Amino acid sequence: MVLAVAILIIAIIVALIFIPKLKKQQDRKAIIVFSFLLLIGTALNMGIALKIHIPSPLDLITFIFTPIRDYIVSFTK
Amino acid sequence: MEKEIISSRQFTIVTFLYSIGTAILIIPSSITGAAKQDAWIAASIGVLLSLLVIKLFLTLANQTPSLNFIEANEKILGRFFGKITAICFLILTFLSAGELLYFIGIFMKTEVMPETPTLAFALLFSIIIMYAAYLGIETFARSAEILFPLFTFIFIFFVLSITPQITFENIQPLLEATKASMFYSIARFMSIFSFPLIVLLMLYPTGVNVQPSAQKGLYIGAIFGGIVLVTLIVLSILVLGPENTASRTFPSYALAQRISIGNFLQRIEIIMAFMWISSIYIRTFMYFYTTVVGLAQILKIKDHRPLIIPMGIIVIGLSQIVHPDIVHSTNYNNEIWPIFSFIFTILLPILLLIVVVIRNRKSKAQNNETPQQETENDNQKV
Repeated sequence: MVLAVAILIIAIIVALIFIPKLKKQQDRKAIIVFSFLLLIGTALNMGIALKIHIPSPLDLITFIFTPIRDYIVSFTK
Repeated sequence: MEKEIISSRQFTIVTFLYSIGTAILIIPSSITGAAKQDAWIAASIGVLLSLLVIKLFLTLANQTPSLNFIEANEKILGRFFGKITAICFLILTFLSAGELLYFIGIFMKTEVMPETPTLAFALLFSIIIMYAAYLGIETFARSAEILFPLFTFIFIFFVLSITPQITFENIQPLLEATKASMFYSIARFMSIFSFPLIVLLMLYPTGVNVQPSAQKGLYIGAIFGGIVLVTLIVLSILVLGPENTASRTFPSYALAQRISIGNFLQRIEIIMAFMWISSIYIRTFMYFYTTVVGLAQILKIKDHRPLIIPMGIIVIGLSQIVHPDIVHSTNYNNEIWPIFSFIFTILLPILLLIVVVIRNRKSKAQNNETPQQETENDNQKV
């Protein structure tokens, strides 16, 4: 719980430091991408700190490539 | 963003340390599991085949001398398909960066400091990676130049100290492995040693000042990295024996634990761990830098630096969720990673090369048919 709050505070500090700097450069795309990535990162880390079970993206990769793997293994059996 | 240039000697050193990467820790176990005591033969064949793979990468990179790999995707395949393949490639490098952070955490937690949570190691390591990405490629190449002599010295000391404990019976009988198990061993070896070398294509055409010696440097770095790995595999089999090597998660660490010179110089395995931490640092940095710079180039953002901190935060989170335990990690690295990396590091460059060759032939045919429109075609050529 303490860790989740600490992550939130760190994310807010990062946002407060970087967004004015980006606003000065007038790059709207960079601000949007930065905020989006920061949001995802904060949400992910808070989920880990609160011990929510987050499935691994490699499970998705494994799910996609398992048929190919079985096909290749069936060649060598 | 001003262009950053590294010398070809720095490029060779980065290739050498990058190709060793995590292989120095986990390769002996995964390929001995399939090929048993002939794993060193599989590794040597893998190193030789890697030279062909490097030739493929260099041929592709020389087709687009002023672009790195991500920009070449967009230029060759067109804006829509190029962006899709580049995003899939970036997913590969991003997940690999997270996986490597997981790896350093689990290694330190298992062997060195069992009571520390892996998040602490991942956090410390990722702060270094983020700061290195902020400082840029030139500083990184210089740090690799500093790490290289230390790495080589520790490695030679390691090899010399462990050779008194060799028993040649462990490597007999020779050539007992079946063709299928050799195929699996070679596939696993190359997927960790040579397929990821495509990430160095982010450096090669645009970031190096002398191109022919950089090409030689890529070959030389990979060959020396292969020599280091084959030596390590041979030593693991000779000293620990094939069953012992295959059943451990970190066989080279077990090898280092056995160093005992004159019953006096013992328990120095943590100095050996310096070797592995430096090679993992080089590899993690390259994956992370590729992801950040590639994302900035796909989205046409001029400066990639603001993206470093959010990506770093996501990568720290990724490192905690990417593998719930070591069994999942071993299964993924042995079964799925060879296929995943093959598709995006071998088939994708082959596809790009085929498209480039077809385009060159088409514009040459147009040049032969309509000599008046030659200037227009020259502007459209790749």
